[in-house]
Amino acid sequence: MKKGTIVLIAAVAIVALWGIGQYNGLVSQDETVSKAWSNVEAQYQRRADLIPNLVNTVKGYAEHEENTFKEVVEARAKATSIQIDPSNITPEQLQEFQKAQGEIGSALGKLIAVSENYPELKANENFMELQTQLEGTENRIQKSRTEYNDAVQSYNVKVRRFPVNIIAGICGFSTKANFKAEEGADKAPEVKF
Amino acid sequence: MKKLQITLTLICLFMTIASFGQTYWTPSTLPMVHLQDRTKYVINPDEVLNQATVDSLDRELYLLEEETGVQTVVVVVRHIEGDDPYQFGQDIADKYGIGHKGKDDGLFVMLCTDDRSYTILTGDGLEGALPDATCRRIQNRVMVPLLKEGKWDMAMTATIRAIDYYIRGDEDFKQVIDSSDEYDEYDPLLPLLTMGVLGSGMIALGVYASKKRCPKCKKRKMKVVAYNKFTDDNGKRKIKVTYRCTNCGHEMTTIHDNNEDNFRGGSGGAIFGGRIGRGGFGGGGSIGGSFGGGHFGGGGSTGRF
Repeated sequence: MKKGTIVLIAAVAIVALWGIGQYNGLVSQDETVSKAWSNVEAQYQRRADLIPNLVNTVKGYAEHEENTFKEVVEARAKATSIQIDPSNITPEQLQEFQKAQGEIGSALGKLIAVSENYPELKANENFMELQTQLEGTENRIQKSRTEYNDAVQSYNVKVRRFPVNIIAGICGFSTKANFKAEEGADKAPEVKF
Repeated sequence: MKKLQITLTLICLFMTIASFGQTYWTPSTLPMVHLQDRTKYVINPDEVLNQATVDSLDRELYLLEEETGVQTVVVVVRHIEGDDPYQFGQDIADKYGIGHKGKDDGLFVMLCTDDRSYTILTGDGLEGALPDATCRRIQNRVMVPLLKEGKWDMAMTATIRAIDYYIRGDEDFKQVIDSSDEYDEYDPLLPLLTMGVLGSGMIALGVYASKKRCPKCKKRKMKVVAYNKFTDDNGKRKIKVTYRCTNCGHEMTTIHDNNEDNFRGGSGGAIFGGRIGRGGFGGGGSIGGSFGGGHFGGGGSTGRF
């Protein structure tokens, strides 16, 4: 065999080995993102699971708030019907998901605000604990979203960087969408007296 | 002129004193005592708690970690920067990784006396033993009534006791302590609620918590009967504690490392006697501890009083 051929084979082998390494790296980062996403979904689900209990507790004290209850329940039904394929998260899908979850969030906000009008409800220990759980769940959602965004960011950086982007392109790894700040969160609330 | 100088000096002095108690702690300025000494868990830089309470809590939390693996950080300060206790705790947990990787059994308890806020945060692995609602219940029933009276030492002692109870009562952690299936039907909140005198409830609680479970009859009736310090063959200072069961008479001994002169067997109620300062404190080269990279997913409860 010619010396040139050996050098060529060696070079190809090195490139192939490097490629395999990079490919495996991409796969594991992709998995990290999927895991982070399933955590996000689990936390939102956790919030959705709290809703029936919360609504029933408030109902016991505040019967006349039918509209608020309806709103919460409808938002929940809508949000839980949205399914996202974790292997292919597009910005549009994520936005839809976020919008539906945001509606739950604001409906729950209203429910809690309404309950402020019922001192007996506010003093109810069961309600207080549900409120704590809700608060904890919101914290968990926030945390899981941050972790998802971090995972997506490091994945995206890897996918887009040269020369890994060549491997990513060949093997079909594309960038993933991350959470943006809630719509309207950038505007300061207007306070009128 | 001289008068002015004296006045200025005095003003400076007062300002120094005033600012001394006004440190607004951040996650990076807060001294992590556990990293310097693995038997220390309570961060008390503003000296809100008295030393006896800190020692007693350290001892209790050391035993908790030894026996269940749960790693705790207790912070008692006047102020924190930004006044967002949840975020502060979460930042500390993320920065240092309180708890063990995989088990995620970290716990964070904080009291900011001048901000008037308190928080309990749980690592992911502790959410079963201490769900958010339980944290809230501990806060509502044990912590807040004492905080409202400004009894910081008692509040922290009672809170940690209650937390300790819930952790040891949980299935996941029970296996680590012993193999018995049942756990004594004892609610640490009960004495506090039923006994009119809070203090006596606390002491009863303290004595109770200091009793170990008998491996033979499974009753929590083990009493410390002997307490010996000795040096083992490798030249390490150890403490041998002998327990005897008041129910069935079974005897057992445990041997601990004597790192910091930290074990004073006997009743936990003694801390209310106001013992301050012990000989040999800090004398025997302490060993730094470490945090294991536990994960906090946002569980726990935060409130204001």
